[in-house]
Amino acid sequence: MIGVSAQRPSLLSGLRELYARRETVVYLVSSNLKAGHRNKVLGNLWNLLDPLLSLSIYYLIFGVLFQQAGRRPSDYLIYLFVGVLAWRFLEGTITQAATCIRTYRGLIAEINFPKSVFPLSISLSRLYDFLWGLLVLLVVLLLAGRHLSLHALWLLPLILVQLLLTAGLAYLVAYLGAFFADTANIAAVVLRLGFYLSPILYFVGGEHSRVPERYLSLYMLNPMACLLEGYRAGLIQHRSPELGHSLYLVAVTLATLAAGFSLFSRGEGKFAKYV
Amino acid sequence: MSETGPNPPFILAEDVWVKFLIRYHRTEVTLRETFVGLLRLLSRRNGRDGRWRQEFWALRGINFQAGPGDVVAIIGRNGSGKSTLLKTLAGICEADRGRVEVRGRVGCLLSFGVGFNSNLSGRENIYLNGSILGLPRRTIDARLDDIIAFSELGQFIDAPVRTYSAGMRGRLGFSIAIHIEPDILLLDEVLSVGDTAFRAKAGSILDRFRAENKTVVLATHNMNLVREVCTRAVWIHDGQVMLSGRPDEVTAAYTKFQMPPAAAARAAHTEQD
Repeated sequence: MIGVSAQRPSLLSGLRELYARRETVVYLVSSNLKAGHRNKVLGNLWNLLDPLLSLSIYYLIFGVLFQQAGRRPSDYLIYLFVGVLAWRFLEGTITQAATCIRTYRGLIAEINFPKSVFPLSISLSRLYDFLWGLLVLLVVLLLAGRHLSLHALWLLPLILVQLLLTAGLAYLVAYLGAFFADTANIAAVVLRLGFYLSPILYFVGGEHSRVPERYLSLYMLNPMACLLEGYRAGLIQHRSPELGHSLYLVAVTLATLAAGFSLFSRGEGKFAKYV
Repeated sequence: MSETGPNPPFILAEDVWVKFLIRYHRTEVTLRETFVGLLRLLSRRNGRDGRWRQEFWALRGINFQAGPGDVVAIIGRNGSGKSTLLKTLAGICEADRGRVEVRGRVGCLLSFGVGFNSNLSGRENIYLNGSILGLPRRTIDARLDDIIAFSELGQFIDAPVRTYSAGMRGRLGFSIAIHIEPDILLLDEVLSVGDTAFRAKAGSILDRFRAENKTVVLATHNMNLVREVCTRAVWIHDGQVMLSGRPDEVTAAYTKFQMPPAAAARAAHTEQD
């Protein structure tokens, strides 16, 4: 390390530093995953059970009780499953990121290393869970007699976009959480709101849409709405995601990532004093 | 982190000031207090310097320098800024004013085993911790046996770290840290972990560092250690350097300063006899 003087770290040097620490990220992700289910009787089976259990709850309450499923129960189930899975990826990451600097305060107060490894490794751990969930979803799709088309390949870029969007938000939330412990509470409320404002429990667009036509473009300003509809386009509806929505989604993602990462890099030298 | 270069290790701190905001350390702020604080902030009567945002300067214009072969002791009372100085040198805390320059790989041992994931085994933690400390996997592979041997953990190395005693954790942490082969070693009152045999082994490490022309900076309350192994001592009081120089002189001045007046008078009396 040469010269730790008071120069402001740039976005590029932050990224370079993070890349140099890619091994640390891998260790953090694998230890996070390894330690996660180690003491449980069902062990790694929880990777499959978790999404299935929350899916069943939402299906019972919103599909059956609130009659969203109507006469197309399997359509609704699959629609719901896509939404729940992708949302869990986002929610799990943000929730953990809000407290990550405080969780690792011992480490941060004692060792000098790029703190940017934490939000990224949390995002990757939750991505791992998400991929397991997608595997279950594929099984459900096949059991329901659906087939996959080449359009399902859209999943790959969409997953990458979600990873970047999630990581960007994770950096932002982790930065705020280092200085204000209240961040975790606020994040929980905002996530709850976002959950209901995203097309997860109800249909959007088409004949069963719950969102009035004239509010639809406003509604689609939510990047998660674009993302979820994109997943469903490729996976269920066998078409490409809408171009306008996708471009908007990519723009929001890149802006969020740049803002979150550069803000986090600027705070790195101060975390040790405040947590 | 740059690799160990041909340049000799070097530390320079010029007029370094470090500030803490007390507000962030308060955890039991009641709802009522919060509202009072908000109102006060809005009315701007007490402005930013109210009870809610007290600044505390932990370091106030520190000048410090160390080069190859130096084993520098930082002494001073609790809360005088020893740990903050070490953290600033390590790059953990940013200096609010002044300049810090460090050349060489820093092995920072402010306390041991903080990075351990207690659900993982000792062996898995060597990889995790080593990686956080900046060691590539291949280097850890090569040094794994030495690390385990030095820690004296034997068969326990594959048990989860949560089953370790404090001494075992300390030994594993110290073993990992010295196997980073740093050019600069920063130690914060950590040589007191472990049993007598382990402490002797740790003490000989300091001699080895000096012989290899590396740099050690350690904060300690053990005056015998300062006199025996250090080449220089720096006495810090209220975030400022009081005295810097030969270990015996600085420790003598510090010990005299710390003694209550009556005891000091008695000591002076004995000296006269």
